[in-house]
Amino acid sequence: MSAAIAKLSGQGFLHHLTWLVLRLLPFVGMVFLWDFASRAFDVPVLFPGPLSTWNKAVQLIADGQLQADILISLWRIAVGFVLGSLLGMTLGLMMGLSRPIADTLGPFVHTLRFIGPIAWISAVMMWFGLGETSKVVLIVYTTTFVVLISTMIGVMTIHPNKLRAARVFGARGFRLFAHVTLPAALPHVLTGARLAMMNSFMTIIAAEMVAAREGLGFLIFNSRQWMEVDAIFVGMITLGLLGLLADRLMTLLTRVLFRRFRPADA
Amino acid sequence: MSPGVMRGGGAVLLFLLAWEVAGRMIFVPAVLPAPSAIAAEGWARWLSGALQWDVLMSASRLAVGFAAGSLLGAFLGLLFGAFAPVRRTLEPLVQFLRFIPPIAWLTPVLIWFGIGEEGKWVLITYTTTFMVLLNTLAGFAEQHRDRMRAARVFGAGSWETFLHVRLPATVPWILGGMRIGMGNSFQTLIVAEMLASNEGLGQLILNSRLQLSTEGMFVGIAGIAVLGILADSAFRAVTRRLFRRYRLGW
Repeated sequence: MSAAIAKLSGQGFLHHLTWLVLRLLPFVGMVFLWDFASRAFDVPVLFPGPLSTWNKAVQLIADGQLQADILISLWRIAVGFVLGSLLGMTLGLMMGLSRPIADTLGPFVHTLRFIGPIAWISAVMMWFGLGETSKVVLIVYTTTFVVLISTMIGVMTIHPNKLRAARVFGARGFRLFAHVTLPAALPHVLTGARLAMMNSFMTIIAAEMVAAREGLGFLIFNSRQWMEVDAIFVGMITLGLLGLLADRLMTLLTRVLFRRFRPADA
Repeated sequence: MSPGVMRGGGAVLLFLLAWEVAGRMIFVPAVLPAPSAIAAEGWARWLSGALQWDVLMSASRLAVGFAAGSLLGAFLGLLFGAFAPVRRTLEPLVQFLRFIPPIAWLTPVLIWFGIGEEGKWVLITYTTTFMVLLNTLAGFAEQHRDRMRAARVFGAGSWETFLHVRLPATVPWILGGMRIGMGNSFQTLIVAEMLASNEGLGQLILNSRLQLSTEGMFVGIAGIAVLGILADSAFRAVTRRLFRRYRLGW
């Protein structure tokens, strides 16, 4: 009761306010630092400050270009992320459950881990053309491995006593999988998916280097050719904010939908 | 040989064989060159001395960026872990920046650091730092209630519990982050070498694309993969010996 009163009284509110200010402080400091640095830089065009970046953002929004870029990029990320997560989860479960499959696919997974999506751009362009497929393929590529490895670890680290207990009660085959293995591995799958979400946001630029005419990656990479640094900054900040938002949304959804599995990060 | 190695080796051999057949019978070399053609291209580059130079330059960039990124990430992670107010103030910024990939920083880095080696180091450092930092923070989030209680019972203050309980418990997480970060630094190599470079494995991939030499591109890709596997095995072997008391699971 007293705690509830403290929450409602000014003290609790003040506490929340201080906390919010503390959280916003680094961003404010960053903006000031950015402004100072851009003023100190010799060639202002090459290092626009917060104000000119803001103006550019306003202009891009007025043109409707930024909204269009955001939508198309989010669509590509969503499709690639969902397909990649499903593929990674399937392969990861297979590798976690079967030693021979793990041994067979292992070398490929561990080799491809070091090769970034950007290295595949030309190959993907040749194999999948210049359309949407190539862009989605690159995002699927970057998502799959993270989810795969995480899922595999999840299946492999299930406590043997859990499986033994289920077997004693007569569960085997599909029932063992559906009631013990899958629920136990799910937190790892979700952690992997969260990391993969970050990867897919980072890969969108590489994906849109493949002959795109719109999208946030296109905005960043195309502006590079014209040295429109203010547009690059707009693209970068938008990407960072959207990524952060998607991450929060996913954590929230996981917490609501999969409460009984208690993912480690939620 | 263990059955695991045999299965893995068999799968790789079978895959290379299928690729060889597909490369020779179905596709033109510009679309999918056969492994033998790629090996021949690699050998020719080795004989001319160009490949060694590429590997050396890329390896030096990776070494500098990975070392700097690991140190910075571990330092920030420990700082965040030791001082909660620092973490609370700076973590939102870190969370925001981790969604901005190194490739987005290409132009700013070019403007600020020029086209020399520094820019390439900065990009690889950037990408490594986040992985090590995030993993270190995840390590600090892990609760060690019993160990903390035991330490307190023996009269350890907050600094001593940090030094003797929380810090050692984080070491495996830092090392795990470094292993993931190493994968990231290899992935970023090609981005770093988009910054005006004349040599390097990433540059080989990019340049082969312009010259439509698909074999050259695959030599670069294979080179990065081989270098990555070697670096990862070396890292595992060294850390296993140096950090024996942590019983790292690799």
